[in-house]
Amino acid sequence: MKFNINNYEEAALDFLDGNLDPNDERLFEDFLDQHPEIKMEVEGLEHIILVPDLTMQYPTKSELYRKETPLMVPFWNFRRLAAAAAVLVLVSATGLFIWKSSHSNSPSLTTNAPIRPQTTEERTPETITSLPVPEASSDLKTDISKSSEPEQPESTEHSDPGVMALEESLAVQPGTSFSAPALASGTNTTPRIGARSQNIHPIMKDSSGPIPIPNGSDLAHGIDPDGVTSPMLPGPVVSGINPLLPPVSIPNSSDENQRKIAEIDLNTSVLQERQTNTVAYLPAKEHLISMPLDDPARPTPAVAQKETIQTFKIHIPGKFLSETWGDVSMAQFKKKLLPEFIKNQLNL
Amino acid sequence: MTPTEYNECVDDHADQLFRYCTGLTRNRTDADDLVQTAFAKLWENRKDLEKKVAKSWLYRTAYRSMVDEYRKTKRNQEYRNRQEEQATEFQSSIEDKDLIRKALDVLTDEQKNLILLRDYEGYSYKELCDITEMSMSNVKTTLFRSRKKLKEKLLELDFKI
Repeated sequence: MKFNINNYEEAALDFLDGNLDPNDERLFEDFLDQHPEIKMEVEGLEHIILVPDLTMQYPTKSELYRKETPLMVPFWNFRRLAAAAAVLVLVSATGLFIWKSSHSNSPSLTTNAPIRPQTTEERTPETITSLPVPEASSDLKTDISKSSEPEQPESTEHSDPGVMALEESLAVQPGTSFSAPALASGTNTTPRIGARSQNIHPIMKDSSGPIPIPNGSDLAHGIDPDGVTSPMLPGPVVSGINPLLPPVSIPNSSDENQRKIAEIDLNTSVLQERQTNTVAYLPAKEHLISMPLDDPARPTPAVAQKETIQTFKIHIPGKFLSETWGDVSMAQFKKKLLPEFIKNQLNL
Repeated sequence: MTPTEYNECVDDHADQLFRYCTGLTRNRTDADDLVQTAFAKLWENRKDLEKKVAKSWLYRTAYRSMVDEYRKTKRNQEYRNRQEEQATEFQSSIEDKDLIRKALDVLTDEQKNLILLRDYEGYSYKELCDITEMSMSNVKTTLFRSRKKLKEKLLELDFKI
């Protein structure tokens, strides 16, 4: 290789490093001899070598280390996931709440049954069965058991709790058992009446059976005096606790009321089947009839009213009470009907 | 390159790259930035690189980053001004022990880069060609002129060779 002033720089480093082959090295030395200024440039260059400072170290090398992160979820993705989860929980809770509500109210929704308005007949049993049983019934029951005893409870017209309870319970009956919508719609209210009479008034149910009549008692009209074998009281009966006044049927002196009762009894076959009697207690006055049989001069008996007040156990059919009690109130019954009945009885 | 190999590159080349960058910039803070930039780019491109070429890739990246940051931006002027100041300091502190290293300030960035890679890291001329993407003749010529310039500077500084 021939060295000249234009290419000696490239060969100079190889010459200093000893990378030239011997032939080129000898040729390069000849070239330097021919150019002393170039020879001065090359001399000493082998000493111009930078020596690194090995004590210098990178101060923050730990920040350069990296770790493989298989799954990096950016923060904005995390926020979206959290929002989606919150919405999902909210929708699930709402759906569960709606499902529970619908499931508890109408189970038919689960079977995709068509929703139709509930008729009065369908609603009535639940309504009737949900009516609270008057507590007076228990009192009445207790009083009934006491009524068989001969003792005379002190009583006034409204001091008897049984009477008060009965008045309250009877006052409720027309509004509950014969509701206006039911009557207006023309639906048969008989099942409701029966259900009510069986569910609401257990005492009525208990008293629906035959009423025993004491043997040898003087029965009023309408009852077979010889009915020992069939002591049934089909109609309203006033059962006197006083042995002097045996249970007698109450002939309604009011023709209108009697006619109504007869119509109800005859025309309403369902009501005829319902033989449930209502027990009521009324303060009664004992009437003593004194008639000297051996005195022909005094054909009419003398009626003397005893000072004591008697308590009567009145069996009134539920049909009678429920449909006519609005016209014939308890007060009217006590003040007018009963005295008139007694008067008629005495006149007979 | 796996993450483990990347971390091994950090262990093997971080300090040397930092010294190289310090020689280029004459500033430790700037050298720190260059090292971080080089390794960050290495991590980003780890799947396309092999460990055996990582060292030259790091130096090349650091040098290019230095060129981009200090020669093509406003900081270039600051860098130049700082070089002048440092050259003045160099002249005034002639008694400094590391005169040759301080004499680098008289070289261009390309000359310093080759000098540093050759002397600091011991790269061969062929490797320098790969790193600097220069021809072999150009690398050798540049290196010769760089050393010649350093010699003149040192002689000027009354440095006994």
